[in-house]
Amino acid sequence: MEEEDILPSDLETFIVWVAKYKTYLTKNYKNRKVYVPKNPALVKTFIPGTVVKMNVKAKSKVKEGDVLMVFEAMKMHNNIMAPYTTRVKKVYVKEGERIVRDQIVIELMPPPLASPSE
Amino acid sequence: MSVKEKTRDLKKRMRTALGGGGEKAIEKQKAIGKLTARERILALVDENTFNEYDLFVEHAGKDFDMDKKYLPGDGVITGTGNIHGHPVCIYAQDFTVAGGSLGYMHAKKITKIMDHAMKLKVPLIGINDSGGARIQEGVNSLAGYGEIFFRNTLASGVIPQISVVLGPCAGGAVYSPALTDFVFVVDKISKMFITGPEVIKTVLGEEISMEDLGGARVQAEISGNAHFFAKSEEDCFEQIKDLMSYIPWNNTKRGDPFPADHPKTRLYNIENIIPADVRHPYDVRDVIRALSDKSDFLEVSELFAPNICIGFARLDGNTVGFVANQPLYLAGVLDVDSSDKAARFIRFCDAFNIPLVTLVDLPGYLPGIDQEYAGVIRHGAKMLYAYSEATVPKITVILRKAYGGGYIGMCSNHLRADFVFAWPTAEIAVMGPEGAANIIFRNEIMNAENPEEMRKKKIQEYKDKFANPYVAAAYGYIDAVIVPKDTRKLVIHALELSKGKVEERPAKKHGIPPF
Repeated sequence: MEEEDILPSDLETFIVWVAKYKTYLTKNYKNRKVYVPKNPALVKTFIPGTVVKMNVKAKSKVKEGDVLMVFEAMKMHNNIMAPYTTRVKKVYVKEGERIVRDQIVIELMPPPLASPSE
Repeated sequence: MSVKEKTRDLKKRMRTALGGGGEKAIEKQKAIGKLTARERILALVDENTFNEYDLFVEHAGKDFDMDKKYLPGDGVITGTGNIHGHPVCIYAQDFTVAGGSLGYMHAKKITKIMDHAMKLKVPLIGINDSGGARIQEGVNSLAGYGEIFFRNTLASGVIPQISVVLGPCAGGAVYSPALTDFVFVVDKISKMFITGPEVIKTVLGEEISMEDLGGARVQAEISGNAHFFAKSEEDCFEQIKDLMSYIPWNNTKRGDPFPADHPKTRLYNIENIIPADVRHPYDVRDVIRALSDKSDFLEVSELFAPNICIGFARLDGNTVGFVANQPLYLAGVLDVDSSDKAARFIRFCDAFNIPLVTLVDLPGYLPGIDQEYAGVIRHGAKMLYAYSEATVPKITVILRKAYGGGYIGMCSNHLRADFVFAWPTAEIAVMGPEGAANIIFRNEIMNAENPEEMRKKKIQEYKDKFANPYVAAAYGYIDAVIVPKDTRKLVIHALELSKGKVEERPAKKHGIPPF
């Protein structure tokens, strides 16, 4: 009998470099944070809070460092700033609105390097 | 009053103080499967050896009408008792008294028994079951925690410190267990966290139950803060006693020797455990049991980062610490969690004169974005640091794969292992044959008429030439290539030789390990 045949059937294949190993996966490995490349055009909140002030609307011209909006979280006012000079594509939230963590609040036109045609 | 009358008065006072938080509170404690603080201590120490101190200590709260309240023993029991016939210092927080909350005098009792343990050079066992700081006592309770943490730190590496979490242990309070050597938790009973579910909900809007946030299972499996997980308090006390049978009472001693005994070789036949194909798994604990006296092995942190297996066993009657890659999980790779887990264990063994036996079979460090972001460079370096720093006898046995950084990190000759043995199945190389052949013979494979066939051929070529222990042995990096059956005999011999080992390290205040 081949060794392969007597291995438990619930083993998973796990690749290290190019070799395929038969093994069990751990809970922490299965729950690991899968990497998602960051899209700088999507402005997200890093903490839940409330929108205090919205300084831009669709098509607004913004310069790098401009304060796009202010939101309150943990009794502090937090400024969300433009990561690069561009135009606003869409605004997703209003003043006074409650926002959760990692919510997309503003969408910008893509950064210049990502779309050299513009 | 006569002596008799005074004695009667003493006994009356004792009865009141020993009553703890009263029947109702005790009933509540029992209803959720918990023992009382005093029952816990008595279950842990040898029969009739417990002596309690500071029974008549009273709390020091003056504000919020606290001065009108009587809190027996101020919510904590302290004393000395024996385990396996040797004295230990012990404290247990009493949840039935003001929720086991920590006030000024409560903390004073704990720090007093800690000072005692340090002076007597005996282990300290702390049983935690407390709602946290006694808010009415304000900054005095914070001072109390600080004094405990400071002593935990000073005692670290001098006497073994054991934390048993048998109830809530929240906020700053959890930093005492975190500073100690071994943390024990019990399913459904232990709860540990810095900020509880309510704070998390208010601040972050995230909802989670206490159990899912910091229950025993989470702390033992996900965070790795707890080293021993038990189903019940009784099982937990047995685990503690088992651990205490292996470890010395302080850093100038060795663990009690036991009568030497053979492994159960019929159950654990060392020649049949390891599959021939390096990509196939096996349970490395079977190898440890094939080597150890009576095939006994006490695994530490069994649930957390199981891709490395650590724990205590005896060889020829004497305690050793085993560190072994576990191919059963994640193929036995080193990653952030397993490096962190093993490094801490290595440092414990080194501090307490426990020789290290390292079993090697790993494909290397785990590649991945999540690993790099989590700091695998820094965490992986902890292994190198801990092994290099350790001056206890260090014996390494390479069972199968020893690739790349993993080969160096697993107590290689270069980190000053005293003896490195390799089985004839060992493959010591910069990487596995598949990866190496792809790089070295890249052009030949690409330009071949049939690249797949050429790749296979080149992999085989590399395997034949390098996937063995003889290249490393030729440089003297391996002391001996051995017959697997002789492993126990040779490791015991090496340990016997290393008994009087003296190895100096440069004098320094302390090193700066990457933690």
